[in-house]
Amino acid sequence: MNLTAFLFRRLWQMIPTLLGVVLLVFLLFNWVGGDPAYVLAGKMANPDDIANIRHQLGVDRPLWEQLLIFVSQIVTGDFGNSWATREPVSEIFRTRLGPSLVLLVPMLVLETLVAIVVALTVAALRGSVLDRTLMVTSTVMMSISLLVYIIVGQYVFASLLGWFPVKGWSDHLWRNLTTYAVLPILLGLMVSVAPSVRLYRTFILDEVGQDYVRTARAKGLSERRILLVHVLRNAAIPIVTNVLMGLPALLTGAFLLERFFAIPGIGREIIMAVERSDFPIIKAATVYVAMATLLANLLGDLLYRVLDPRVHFE
Amino acid sequence: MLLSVRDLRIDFQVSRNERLSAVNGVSFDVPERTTLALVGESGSGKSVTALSILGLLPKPVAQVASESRILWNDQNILGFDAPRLRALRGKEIGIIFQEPMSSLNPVFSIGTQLMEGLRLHMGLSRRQAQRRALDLLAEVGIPDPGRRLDDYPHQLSGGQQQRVMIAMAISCQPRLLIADEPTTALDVTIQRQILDLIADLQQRHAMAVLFITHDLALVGEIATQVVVMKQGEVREAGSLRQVFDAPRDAYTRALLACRPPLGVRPQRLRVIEDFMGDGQGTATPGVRSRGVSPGDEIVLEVRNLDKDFLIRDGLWHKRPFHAVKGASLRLARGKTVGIVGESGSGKTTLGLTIAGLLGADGGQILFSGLDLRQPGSVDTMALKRRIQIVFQNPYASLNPRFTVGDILTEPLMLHGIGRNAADRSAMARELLGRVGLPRDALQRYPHEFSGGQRQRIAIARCLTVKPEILICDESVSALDVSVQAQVLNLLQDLQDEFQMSYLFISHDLAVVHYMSDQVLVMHDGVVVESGDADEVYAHPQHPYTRRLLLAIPKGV
Repeated sequence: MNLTAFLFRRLWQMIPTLLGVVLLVFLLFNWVGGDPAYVLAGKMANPDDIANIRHQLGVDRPLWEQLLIFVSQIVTGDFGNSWATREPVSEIFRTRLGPSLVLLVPMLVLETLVAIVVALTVAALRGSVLDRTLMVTSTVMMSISLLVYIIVGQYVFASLLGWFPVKGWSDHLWRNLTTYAVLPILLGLMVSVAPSVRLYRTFILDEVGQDYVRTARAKGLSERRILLVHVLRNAAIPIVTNVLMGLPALLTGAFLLERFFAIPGIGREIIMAVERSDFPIIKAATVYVAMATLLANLLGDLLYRVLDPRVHFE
Repeated sequence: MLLSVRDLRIDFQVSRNERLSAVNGVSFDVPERTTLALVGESGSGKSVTALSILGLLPKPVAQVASESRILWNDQNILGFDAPRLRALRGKEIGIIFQEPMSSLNPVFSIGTQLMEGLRLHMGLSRRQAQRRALDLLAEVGIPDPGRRLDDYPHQLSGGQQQRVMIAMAISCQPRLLIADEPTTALDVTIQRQILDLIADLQQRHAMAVLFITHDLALVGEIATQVVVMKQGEVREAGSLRQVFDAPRDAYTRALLACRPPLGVRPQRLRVIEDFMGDGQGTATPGVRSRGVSPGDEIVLEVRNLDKDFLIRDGLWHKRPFHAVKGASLRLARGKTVGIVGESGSGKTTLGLTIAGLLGADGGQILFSGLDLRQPGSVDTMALKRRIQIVFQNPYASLNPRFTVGDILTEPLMLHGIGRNAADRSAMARELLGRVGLPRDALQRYPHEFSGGQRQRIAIARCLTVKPEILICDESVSALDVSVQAQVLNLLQDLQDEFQMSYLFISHDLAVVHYMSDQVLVMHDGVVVESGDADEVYAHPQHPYTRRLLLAIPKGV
């Protein structure tokens, strides 16, 4: 099957999945979300105010009508205004997503690179003291809460040593990347690298035990070439899957890091929206993440074709 | 002497305080330009020996004794450092393995993999290496090598993959080629081609070949010198003639005798115990006559059976792949119909469809006069009881979490046989004795048994429900030849005793001939020839049958 047919079929198949997500979000919110009018109107509200607010929000209309509006919002990409702040939802995502990505994209890239390098090293020395030490260290590292890293990190590296600003954000990408985002990225890595190392190590060890590695050795290749060319190329297939699975999460930001480092990211907005039952923002975030997941899957399938000649578009 | 192995001892450190001796004082010589066969069953240490020559054993686990020597041109390979060992590998000594598919890296083209060694050892440029790779592919008989260079391993057939492995192994003009069971995973006609290719290359390149195999019949085809190994020790060594014509060791004699001969059909196959130990063998003289007479009762009749698999084709379409096309057979009570064919011939699919494990797409399966394909015509539970199947892999087909007792009593319970648990367990115990297993095996788990014993368990499981038809799908193919003979004898005894009918599916023509009254030859889903076993083997009518029979290794 050729590429176009494959893409067409996959995009076609996304529609029912997406409809399912939409329906689920809508029903869940209507069943367990509570009435936003009460939240918005505050303690002193009288029934008229509430009815008024309900009318403004459109939650007094029949369910099917609300669902129809929801679907049209998805199609147009306009999710209306936040119920809490009146700010257009599109505006919120436009301005808050940037800072989150400045934080999270370098983190994902670094996490992947560091994890692969460490995993290759420990796989090459498997069973040795270094291997065991690194494995124990990574377990310890991932067992400590991010909060601990943040508090200690801010105190030691920012406040005490003054290597980084304690918190803050600017309007310039480069300045953010080189100054404000550095410490949060490093602290985030402390928690996120270790699980990846452990996972990638097993991927690589799985490959090291394969027959083709024995063949490569029998050809007289160096251990270095065997690992970097033969093994890594095969281990790349599950590694890529793992990285792609992490992509949709970029859209929901990193609440803790954003909060403690005063970064105006999307993570904070989403947490606040959940607290306030701010349905438009939650709807948008859920739909975006669902779409991103489907697209990441599709991207993954395309990448497999590049990485693994055995995979066909089926 | 090109290669001398002296007092090779290899232990495996299985756990902190458990060592397992894999090779125990093995010595042999490989002179220049000769083919030496290292023969033995599983666990004999033959592959471990071969891998140790190139230092390919897993490092901390496999420990070679300090007094052992592997001399290559009088230099001890075991003392080589890593760079010297790498210069030897692929350059002076090439090696090919049993599984060509997994031995090739799946994500690199065969051209890339071929050129890798050439560029490393011969210092060729990309362009030169590519030209040489083309020559090599042509030399090992890959058609249209120019187009094949960019193919990936999975795009080649098993035989072609092994040819590529061979091309890779000989690419740098090695002086020794180690072939570790190179044809075991291949069909018999492909095996014939690969053997011829190795013999031809050995002559042309004036190489020595160390040929490792479990199959003595192959040895006769290719080797001039033979070393027979058992449990890490050399039992016998000598020239081909001497080992085959006048074997000195009892084990060698047993190995030679326990393969079913093609010419005559002994009453029972001879087994290792006939030759070794206290001499309390079970061999009975006499020749078994086979064949079906017109008066025999037919228990199973298959008429024009079709089985398709759907393959996705294009954007929306699915296209049927005809795995079995119009197969017909008649199975008489107490008789055996053998089904032979190479991989992909549809023989297993036919067996599974008859057993009801796959649904048929056309034709009739008449069992005691009832059409099994008519819904509601028969009680399927009762039917399942009467047709049982023994699979190929005794390691994968038994549930590892079940005790042997569970395995044997489960079908009894399912079919409501036996009054209570004690009753059923007594039946199971009796069956264990019948298939030659100790009665205390009931409480043990499958992994505690050898491959042959596990296949006995699988057979006992079938016997629990007293089937009328037993389908043996490559049931002895994964077993060592000595164990194979025992299991075949067991199957034969059971047939004599219970008058069961067998559908005996195998790629092994000698085994099928030994077991069958009638045979079916399958090719690409079609039964190309069928008839009386002796008749088909003596006077094959179809060209494919002739080709198959010609490919059987004849021994000496």
